[in-house]
Amino acid sequence: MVHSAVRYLAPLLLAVVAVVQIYRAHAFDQSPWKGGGFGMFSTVDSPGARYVRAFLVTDTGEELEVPTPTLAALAIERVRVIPEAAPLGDIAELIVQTRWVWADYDPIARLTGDGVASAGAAARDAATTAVDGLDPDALSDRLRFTRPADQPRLRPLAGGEPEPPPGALVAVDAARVELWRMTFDGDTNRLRTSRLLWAVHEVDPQTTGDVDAGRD
Amino acid sequence: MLDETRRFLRKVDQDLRNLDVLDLVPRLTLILLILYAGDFWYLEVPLRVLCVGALLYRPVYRSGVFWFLVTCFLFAANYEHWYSIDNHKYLMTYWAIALTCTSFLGGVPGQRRVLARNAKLLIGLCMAFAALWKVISPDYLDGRFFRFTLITDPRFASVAEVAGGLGPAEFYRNRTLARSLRVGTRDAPVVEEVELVDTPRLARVAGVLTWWTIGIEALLALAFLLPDRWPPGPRWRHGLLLLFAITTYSIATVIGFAWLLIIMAVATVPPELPRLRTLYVAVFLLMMVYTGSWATLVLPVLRWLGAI
Repeated sequence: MVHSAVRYLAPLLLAVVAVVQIYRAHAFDQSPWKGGGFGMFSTVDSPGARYVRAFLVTDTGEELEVPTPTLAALAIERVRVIPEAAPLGDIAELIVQTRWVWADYDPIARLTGDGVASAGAAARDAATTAVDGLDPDALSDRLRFTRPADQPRLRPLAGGEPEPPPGALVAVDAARVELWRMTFDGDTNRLRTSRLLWAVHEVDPQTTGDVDAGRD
Repeated sequence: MLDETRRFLRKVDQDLRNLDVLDLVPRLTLILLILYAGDFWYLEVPLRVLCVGALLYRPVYRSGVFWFLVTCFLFAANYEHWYSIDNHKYLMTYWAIALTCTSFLGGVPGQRRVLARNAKLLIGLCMAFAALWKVISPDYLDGRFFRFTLITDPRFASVAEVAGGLGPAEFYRNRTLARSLRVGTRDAPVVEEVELVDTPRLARVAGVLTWWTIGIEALLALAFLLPDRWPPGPRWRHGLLLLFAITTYSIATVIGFAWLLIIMAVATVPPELPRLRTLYVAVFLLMMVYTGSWATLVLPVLRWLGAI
């Protein structure tokens, strides 16, 4: 018996891992595409149909969507497969620890005495005009990097940038990171998205380190 | 020229027939590992060094210690990234374990038998779980998965155009709309619902793909998990696998997965069907053709001919 189990260890492992993966997909919402259960090409719910959105809450209570930090790429990759609140909280903490400036703020323009906005805004306008030719790839890039236009956009202060003036820095109260999932309705051909999970990290010294999280 | 080609192909066929399965299968596996072992440098670099060495010196790939080392590298790298790696990377690790267990066995006939059984079980189980997932997924059997995939996944764009009649502009519109759920556009904020476009023909194509895929995977599971003495026997088993590889991987070009299935299938070829080996090696090479973007060559010709 033991001898046979060793000889056929590989198929035995395959079966055990696949059964565990099916259980995890149903119990913990793990994406069926990943984890060794051979659920690829069986559902719309691939890691590509799940995505993370991040929001800053300013000291005035305004909520602004911000790009997720590059440092959190691995955590995001993982949370898109295994939806867990703890990594979302870690990403929120990373966002809170980042210094954010208004996207219009341009340190070079400031150093040359050109004020806060002009050079940055001009460069952005030029870039926008360049992709308005609707070349599919260029438009894809534009969508990838463009945040909702009805909100003022923020960017993280890069390492080595000169200290910005007080007005350019954004006072942050909290960060909220959310995991969203797309579903496809075959009857109406509609692709819908809904929030799956969220976590908030607050800056308030009374509650620093606390992470509030929930599942929708 | 034609005669020379024919003579050359006949010689290749003869060589493949004469080659011991315990030489052919490890060699093909080494090629697979050199080219498609993984995306992490700390896996790729040592594995490539090990595998090139083994290809050059036969006793290395016949040794259990070598396959044990390969297994350790694969296991360590894949364990760290278990949540992001594709399923065939799991299968590759299991196959390395099977080669390790086989290589430590005494007696060549026993090694051949155990390797073939491991291969049969691995192919059968992987197909069985793939089919099972399609049965239990809420959005597979009703055709939603393939409809969505055909109208938004770039890998399926050529099928959507040729078979489903969905033009590149509609496809691009769907991609843009799907993306707008995530990031919005410059002129519009993020939305929570978008309506995608398809065609009546495309819905029928999605239905065919849905049932074809689950059908062939379920049949392959049965063919490889049922004992040899049960009908329909090894000929059907291999015919089905070749059909699966030739059709599936022309669209979903996961060549690492295709090669792995072919290599494991070669290990199960019975001695009375030696020509199958040559056929499998030919399909192994065909998969390399699939990695080229054939659609970019074929589609303009079809458009020019007015066929689509």
